[in-house]
Amino acid sequence: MLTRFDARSVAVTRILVGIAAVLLAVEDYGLLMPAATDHIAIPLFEAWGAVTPLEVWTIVIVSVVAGILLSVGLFSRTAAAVAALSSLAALLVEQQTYSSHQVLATLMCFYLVFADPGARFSLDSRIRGSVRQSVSRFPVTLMLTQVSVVYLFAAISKLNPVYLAGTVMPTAMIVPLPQPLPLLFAVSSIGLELFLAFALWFRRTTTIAIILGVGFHFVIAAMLHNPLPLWSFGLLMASTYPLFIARDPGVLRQWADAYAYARRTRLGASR
Amino acid sequence: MWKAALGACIAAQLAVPAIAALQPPPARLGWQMYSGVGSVPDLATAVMADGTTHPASLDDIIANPRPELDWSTYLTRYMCLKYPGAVTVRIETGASREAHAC
Repeated sequence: MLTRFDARSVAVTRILVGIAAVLLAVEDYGLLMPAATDHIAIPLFEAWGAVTPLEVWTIVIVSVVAGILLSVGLFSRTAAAVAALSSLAALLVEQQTYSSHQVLATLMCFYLVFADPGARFSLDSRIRGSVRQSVSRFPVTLMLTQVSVVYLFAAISKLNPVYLAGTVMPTAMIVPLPQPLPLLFAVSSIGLELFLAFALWFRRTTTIAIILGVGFHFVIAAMLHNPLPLWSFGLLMASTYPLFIARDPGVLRQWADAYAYARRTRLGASR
Repeated sequence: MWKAALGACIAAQLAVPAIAALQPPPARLGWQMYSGVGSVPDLATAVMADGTTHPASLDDIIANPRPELDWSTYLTRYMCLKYPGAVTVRIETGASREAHAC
């Protein structure tokens, strides 16, 4: 079997994915309930008929509970499985719930099922009375490659005349940007996504990629209308950053040194 | 064995959006968010036999205007059911205007 992976970083990923699952459930309620009542309903399979309010409540409540349990690490593996299934259910009962972050959430929860998500920083480990230092590298590697694939194809799909004209993002922004900022934003966002797809993997660029990635997702969520989906998407993507730090001992040392320096500086300042 | 399985999974992660990229955009499972391709209607109007019209604000009838969905079909079906006497449904998307029989 492949070598093992630091369980602490997986625990941080689990916590962030759990929070994203809760945010996604709130978003799903806003999309599913209108389809269940007076709006157009578009079930993935016609034979199923339109989603009903009871089904909506079931999906939302199950998703919220699973997300919370995942974050606190109680019945972690089961919670991850249930969160994956409820997210999948939201996708299947109504086509208007489709989004890249809904699919990504489903996949991340699915990968977590196999990553022993309750090994560290969890109520599971408290109840068990012991922690496990490492988890299987297989599902963790799939989380990392998944995020790189998302960045890569997000960048490739933006290489079209409409996006490159800089007209797409301004329509979604809460504050209108004067020219040539929309054009610069369009070009730089493609460059940044391409950079993130690869730079997260190399020791010399991991740290700067993480800083840029966090900034990118924060700016996007802060600047665009309807930010809830963007927060959950950003959380899902950033949830893998601790894994990129932990996968390389050199990068882990950089962050440990920075943390130790910050602690020393803070302690020094408080004296 | 494990490495082969991992390689197969990563190949699938790459193959699915690559296949989606070959479809007419926007395609699902292609990680094509905010790419600017595709469009959604601005207005749907049910036209009755006597010529009277019932315009519908799409904000009131669509939960999420996903660009990859075939809104002509869904809007026509919805408007024809909502207005039983309607003979056609006019759908306006940007400058284009289509009429679909009920």
